[in-house]
Formats: sequence, C-alpha cells, structure tokens
Amino acid sequence: MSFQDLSKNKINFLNIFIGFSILIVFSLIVKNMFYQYAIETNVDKARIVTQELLATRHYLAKVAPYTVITKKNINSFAISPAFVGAKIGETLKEKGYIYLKQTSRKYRNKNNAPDSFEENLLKKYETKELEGEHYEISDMHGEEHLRYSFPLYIKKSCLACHGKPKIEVKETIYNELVKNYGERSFNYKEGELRGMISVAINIQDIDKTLKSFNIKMFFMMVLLFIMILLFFYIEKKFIYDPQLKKIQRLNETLESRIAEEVAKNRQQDQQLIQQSRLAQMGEMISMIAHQWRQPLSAISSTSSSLELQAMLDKTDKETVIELSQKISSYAQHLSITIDDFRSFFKANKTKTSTSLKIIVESTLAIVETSLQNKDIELVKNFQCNKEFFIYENEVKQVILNLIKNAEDVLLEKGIKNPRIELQDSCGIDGDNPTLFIKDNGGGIPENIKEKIFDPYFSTKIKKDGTGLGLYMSKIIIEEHCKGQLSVYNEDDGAVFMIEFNPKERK
Amino acid sequence: MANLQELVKFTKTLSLLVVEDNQDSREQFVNMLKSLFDNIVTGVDGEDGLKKFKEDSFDLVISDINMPKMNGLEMIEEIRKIDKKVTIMVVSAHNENNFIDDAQFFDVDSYLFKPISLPQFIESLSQMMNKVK
Repeated sequence: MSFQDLSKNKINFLNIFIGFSILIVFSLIVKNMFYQYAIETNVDKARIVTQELLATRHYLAKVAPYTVITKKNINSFAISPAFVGAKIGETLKEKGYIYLKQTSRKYRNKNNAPDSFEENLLKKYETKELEGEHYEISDMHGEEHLRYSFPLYIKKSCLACHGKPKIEVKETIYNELVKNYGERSFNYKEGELRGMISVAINIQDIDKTLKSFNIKMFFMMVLLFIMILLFFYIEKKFIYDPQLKKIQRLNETLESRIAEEVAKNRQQDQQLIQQSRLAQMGEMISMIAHQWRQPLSAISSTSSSLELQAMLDKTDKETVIELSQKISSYAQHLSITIDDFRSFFKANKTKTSTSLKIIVESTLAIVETSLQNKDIELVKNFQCNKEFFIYENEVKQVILNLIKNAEDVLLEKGIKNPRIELQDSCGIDGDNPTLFIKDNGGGIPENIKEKIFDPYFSTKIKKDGTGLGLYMSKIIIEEHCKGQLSVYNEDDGAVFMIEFNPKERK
Repeated sequence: MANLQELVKFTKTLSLLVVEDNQDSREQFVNMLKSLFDNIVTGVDGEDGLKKFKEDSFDLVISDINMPKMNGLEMIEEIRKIDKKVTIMVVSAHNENNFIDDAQFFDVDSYLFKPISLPQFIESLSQMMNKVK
C-alpha cells in the first residue's frame, strides 16, 4: 500500500516539475515573440515616417526650383526638400511624437549635424558597408531607442543645389546658399550619397510593458497549467475509458479483494472443519447404532416373549422375573455404551498415565461391534505394558480414525477375509511406546503416499471424505503429543505407526 | 384372544427354520418363538441355514439379511430353487431397507424390521394361516 502511494507521489512531482519547466521556457519564448513584434511595429512606424518624408521631398524637389518666395522675411529655400524635412523633424520632436532627422556629414544646417551614432552609420553607408534601410536598438540619452536609418542619394533634381556651382547650381542660388551656409555641399554627382534620414523611437516603454505583461503572463500560464492538470484529473476520474477504468478499479479493489478472498478461505476452512466434525458425529452415531442394535432387539424379543406368554395365559412368576432382569441388564448395557462415547469424545486438558493396551482396548469398545458386523477380523498383539503420560482421549481419537480408515479401505476394495491388526512395541531403546495399525487393504499407492497427510486430501469416493482426518491426526500426534505419525506399506497392506516419546512430561 | 389361540394352534403344527448370525439375538428371538412354535431349527448364517433347509422340510423360514459367508438373500435365492412354496419372512435392520426390492424379487412373503414388533409379527403369521386355509 505504502509503496504504491509513494510511486504515485513521485510521478506527480515529476509531472509538476516538467510542467513548470515547460511553463518557464514557453513564457520566455512568448515574451521574446512579443518583444520582436513590438520592435517590428516600431520599425514599421519609422519606415512610414521615412517614406512620408521621402515622398514630400520628391514632390518639393520637383516644384521648388520653379517656386519663388515672395515674402522677404521667409528663407528663400523654405520649400527646398532639405529645409522642409528639417522643419517637419523639428516639429515632430517638439510635439514629442518621434525623432525624425535628415543628417549628413556634409550638412548645411547645423541642426542636421549627425550625432556619434549617426556619424558611424553614415561612414558605413559611404563605404557601402551598409545599403538601404537599417535599424538597431541603441542607447540614446540613457534610454533604449530603436534607431532607424534610410540613405539619401543624389538625384538629378538635387543637383540644382548640390551640383557644380555656376554650372548646375545657378549663380543666384549658389550665392544665396554660400551666404546662408557657407561653401558647403556642392559638387555632388548623381547617385552619390548625400546623407540619410534618421528616425529614433523610444522603446523603453516596451520593456516596461513586457515586464508587467510577463508577470500577468506567468500567472496566466500557472492558471492554464492548473486547468490542464484539472482537465487531466477530470478526464482520468470521470471520462470513461473501459480498459483503463477496469485496471484502475482492479488496482483500487485489489487489497479489499485479497482480504475478501482470505476471509472466504478462512470461512471455507471453518466450513471444512465443521464438516469434519459433522462427519465425526455422523460416524459416532453410526457406531452407536451398531452398538445398540443387538441389545435393542434383545429387549424387544424379551418383552415380546413376556407379552406373548401373558396373552396365552402361560405366565409363571419365575419366567417374568427372569425376563424382566434380562431387559434391565440390556438397558444397563445401553447406558454404559453412551457413557463410553461421551467420555471418548470429551477433550481432556491434562495428561494421564496409561498404556497403549488400555488406550486401544477402550477405543475398540466403541468400534468393535461395527467391525464385527462387517466381518472384519481384529487381531490384537500387545506386549509392552509400559505406562506413560499422554492426552489419552486425543490419542484414542487418532486410533479410531486410523481404524475407521482401514475399515473404509477394506470395504471399498471388497477385500476377502478383511483384517486389521493392532500391535505395540516398546521401541528400540525400550522407552518409545509405538503402536502399529495394520490392514490387508493392499497398501497406499506410491504416488499419493506423500500427500495423504495433506489437508483436504481424500481418496474416499462413497463416503464424503473431508480430507482432514489424517491431517488432524498428524497434528494431534506430532504437535500436541510430541510424537510421530508415519506410514509404510508392508506385505498386503498399509501400516500406520505412532511413536510416542514419554520423556515429554508436563 | 380367540384369534391368538387359533393362531397358536396353527403355528404349533409348523416346523420353523430361524437363520440369524448374532447369537444373543438368535437366542432371544427363539425364546420368544417358543411360545408359538414347538418345532424350531436354527441356522447361524446363510450357508448353515441352506444346509439345515436341505436336511429337513420346513413350513416357514425366518431369516436375517446381513450375515457372513452367505447373506440372507443369497440363501433365499437357493431355497427358492428347491422349494417355491415355503413361506419366507425376512427380518432386517432399518438401514438395510434397500434390500426390500431384492427380497420381493425372490417372492418373500413378509418383510419385518428389527427390533421385531409383536403385533406385526402376529399379523404376518395370521396372513400365512389364512393363505394355507
């Protein structure tokens, strides 16, 4: 029981451990996915802003050369792509939406000067180490930012302000530019790198969001895990799987079933012992019947004689007295028979001093008539009259059982001139009274010789043998009387030998 | 008692063979029968009974069933081979009543249980007397 529980617990611990490991790994993966997703979203944002700016710039690059600023206090380059772009960036920055900037190492507007991060990227674009859009996460003013960049290349329309002075750049424009920004950013050729659009988005918040998300996520996962466990439990408990259910039920009920079977067995044992007692009683009654038949018929005959004589008016005093005395003596005999049986089956708790001859004689008093009626010859041969202490009645019952067994065999096999011999000896050293009970019933077959003392082993066909007689006999002799009960075949029959050890005195 | 007197007058004329193996039973039974019969021969078993039957002529045979050497039924079988008319009564213990069928087969006239009840025995004898008349 305890072993089963322990192994069950072990499995549960293992399950929980594996479950938690999966949970942690899974939540890490999910967190990473969400982080990636957040970054992608921000990259998209940067991309859109960049594309918008580019579109604006393209449009302005087309229209600007033909546009004249009429108001004196407005910068004459106020609608140039560079100027407008810078203004958009500044406005967005002021509103705190996004960091958008056009930058170049050869900037004209000081506000467009690159920071160290941008400078680094510009160099890479120049050497073509980088091409097209690029983004990475980098620290900016102490907070994490997504830095997005998109390179700007000189197009034909750009040469109006960045081409060769006085050839591609009109003199008036050239003079104006030099006046405003100094001799900077001329002599570009088509396709050359001008600079880049730089976008920065603060993603510090993403981390924060993810962290709180992570905690929520973890709790959700735990909840999920518990629900899954619950699900499995419910499935196991309530959802019907015939095979599994059967095995489970078997396991659950195994113990109680074993207990039940043991109880059943015990009950069967009890029943068999009860049966053997009943059989013993039945045998006793049959023996009493044999003992009583003759005296009863003698009484009946005698009283009938008396009656007849009276009816025929032939009665005389002497005959009446004589026949009455006979009846009375038969009745006495019947009474003695009952006393014999009563004392025979009474268990005595103390050992008494007796000899084998005495024991056998008092046993035969009970069984002799029955044997005579069946024409079984009884041979008695007693020489050792040694007295010893023994549980007399128990030994008598064993002897009776052995004689009855012999009788059964002789009758069952229909042996001619059936004979039972009872013989004693004082043992090898003269101190071991031994009784031999021998029959001429053909002996015990070798293949069952080993089993005859086993409980519930019986060869009796007609009589319902309980298979307990010899078993009980062996227990009485060997365990209670500290003797030895054994069997061997000799001549034309079996010999049961009971050896006593009178040194066992209590 | 006129009937009984008449019966005794009849039985006194009969010769009887009693076959019973137990000596005590046989003696007690014969003691009783002496009031009814004058001519009683006894056999101690089936073999002895058959021998006695062959030696003499009898009107009535009363026999036990369970006997050594030759049992009552075997003896009756032999007797019936010799004499088909002789009246035969069987006396037996209650636990041997499975012999009744066999006994009827051999044309047994009466079947009595041990211990013998006097009225029943007298009834059987009366039947025999009526038959003979």
